[in-house]
Amino acid sequence: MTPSLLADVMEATWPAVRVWRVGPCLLRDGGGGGQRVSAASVAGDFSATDLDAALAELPQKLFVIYPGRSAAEAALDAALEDRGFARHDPVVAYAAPVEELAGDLPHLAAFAHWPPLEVVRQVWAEGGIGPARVQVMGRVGGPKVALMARSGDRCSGAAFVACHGDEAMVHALEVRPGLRRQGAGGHLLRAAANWAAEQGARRLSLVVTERNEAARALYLRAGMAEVGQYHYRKA
Amino acid sequence: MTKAYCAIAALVSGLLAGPAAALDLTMPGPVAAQESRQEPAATYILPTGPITDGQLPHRRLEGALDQRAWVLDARGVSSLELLQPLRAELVAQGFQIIFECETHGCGGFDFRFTVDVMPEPAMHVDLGDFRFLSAEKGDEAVTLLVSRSPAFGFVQLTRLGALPLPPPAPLNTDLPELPIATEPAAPPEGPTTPVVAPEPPQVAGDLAATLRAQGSVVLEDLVFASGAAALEPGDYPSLLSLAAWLAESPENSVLLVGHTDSSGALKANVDLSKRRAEGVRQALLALPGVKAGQVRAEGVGPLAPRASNLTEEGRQKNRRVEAVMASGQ
Repeated sequence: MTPSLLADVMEATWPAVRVWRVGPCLLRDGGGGGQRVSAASVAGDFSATDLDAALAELPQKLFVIYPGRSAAEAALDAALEDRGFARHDPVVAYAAPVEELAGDLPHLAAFAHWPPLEVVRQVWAEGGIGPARVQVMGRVGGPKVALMARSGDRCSGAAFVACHGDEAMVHALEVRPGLRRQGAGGHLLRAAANWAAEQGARRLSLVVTERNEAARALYLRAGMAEVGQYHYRKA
Repeated sequence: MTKAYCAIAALVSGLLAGPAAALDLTMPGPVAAQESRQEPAATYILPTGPITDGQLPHRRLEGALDQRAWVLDARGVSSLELLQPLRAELVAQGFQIIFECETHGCGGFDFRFTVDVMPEPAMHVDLGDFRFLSAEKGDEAVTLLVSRSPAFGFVQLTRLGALPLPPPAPLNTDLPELPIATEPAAPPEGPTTPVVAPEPPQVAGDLAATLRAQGSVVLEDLVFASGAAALEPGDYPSLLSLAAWLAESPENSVLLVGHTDSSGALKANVDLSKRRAEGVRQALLALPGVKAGQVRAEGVGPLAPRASNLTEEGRQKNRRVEAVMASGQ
C-alpha cells in the first residue's frame, strides 16, 4: 500500500467535515471527530513563506505526515521539526487481502447493519468513540456498515467498515474490556472481511496507534501485515 | 448512502433438502390471490394448545416447510364455514387433528402474534374472528389458519414434512444469515399526511435532543401487551417528542428498530420485533406533521441485547424499540 493510497483511503473512509486549501496546505475541519479528521497536510511543494502563512491560519497546530508520500511530505516533516512541532502519536497501518481474512463465523457471532444501533454506540462511547466520531462515519459517502460482535448473547464489541474503490478500511474496532481475549476482535475482523468481499473490495486495511500493542498483536495473528505508517506533528 | 436492516426471512433455513410436495386442498371459494413460500429446511413451532399464561404449548419441528396463503372471494362466509371443508379434507387424507381453536379460545391477540403468519396482504387475520388447527399424519404436520374480512376469506396452510436433518453444510453467505439490504424501498406516502400542514409544535423535547446528540435513543416509555405487537394506546411523551422533531423538517428521518429478549424462536422474535416497530411507526404517523417517508421500521429480535437475558429485569430491558436517526447518516 503506497503512502499516497493509504492517505486516500483514510480520507474517504474517515472523512473530515470540510477540507480546504491554504497555500500549500490542506486544512481540515474534523467537527470534533479527533485528530485523524482534523490534522492539516501538505498538498504540494511549498516555500518557507508559504508554510508560515498557512501556519498562521491553522485552527489547530496539528499536521499529519505520511512518510514517503512525496518530497514535499519529507520537507514538511523537517520544516515542522525546525519550527518546534514535535513528532506525535505514530500510527501503523495493517492490511491483508480480503479473501485471506474472510471465512465462516460461529452462528450469530457478528451482526452487520446500518445505521448503528444504540448498543453499538454504547460500546464505542465506552471506548472513547463518542457521537462526534460516529458522525464521521455518517459522512462516508461510499458503502459502509456497522458491525456488532456477540459473545454468549452479549454485545461484546463493535467496528465500522467502509469501502473506497476496491479498498476496505476498518475503523473504530472496539471490544468491551470485560469481554476481551474471547475472540470478539477476530470475529469482527472476519465479519469486516466478509462484508468487504460482498462489496467487491480486494484489500482490508486499518490503522492503529503504534503504542496499542494488544491490538497490533491481534492484527498480526489474524494474518495482517504492516503496510505503512504515518505520524503527527504537533506544536 | 443509507442502508436498512434486512428482513430476516430465512433465518432458520439454509440447509440442504428437497422441498416438500404441496398439499392439495380444494379451496372453499373462488381464489382471488395466492402466495406461497418454501424453505427446504426450516424450524417450525407447531402449536399444540391455546396460549396460557403467555406460553404457547408447542412442538418444535424441523423439516421442509411449504406455506401457502389464499385470498378467497367469500363475502358473507364465516370462518367456521371456511375451515370445515378444509378440515374434512385433511381428515379424509388421513390427518389427525391434534389441536383446534377459535379466536379467544386460541389466545386471541397473543396467539395471532405468536404463530407464524405470512405478511399482509397475502394473509389477513381478523383479531376478532379466526380459527386455527394443527394436524399430523406420520412424519408430516400441517396447520391451518383461517380468517376473514368483510369481502374476503383468508386461508393459510403450512406443511412441514419431517426429513432427517441433513449434515450441516457451510452457509453460502459470509455473515451468519444477517446481510444488510442494499437500499430500502421508499415507503409509500401514507394517507396520514394531513392536507393542511399543522402548526409545528414549539419544542421538540428532550428525547429528540438526545436523538440528535447521540444518534439513537430507546423509547423507554412505550407499553406493549405481553407477546403482542400492538402498542397500548396512550400519549407517549417519547412519540410526541419524536413527532415534533420529524415535523420540524421533512429532512429529518428516523429508523425504528424493535428488539426482543432471547426467549423463544429467533425468527418469531425477529418478526415480533419488526411488528412492534411497525406498530410504533403507525402511532407516529398518526401524530401531526409526520410523513410516511420519514419513518421506517425494522426488527432485529434478540440479536442486540443491552442487558443479560438471564434475569427477568434484563429481559425486560431487552424488549424495546429504539429510534435511530436515519437522516445525515
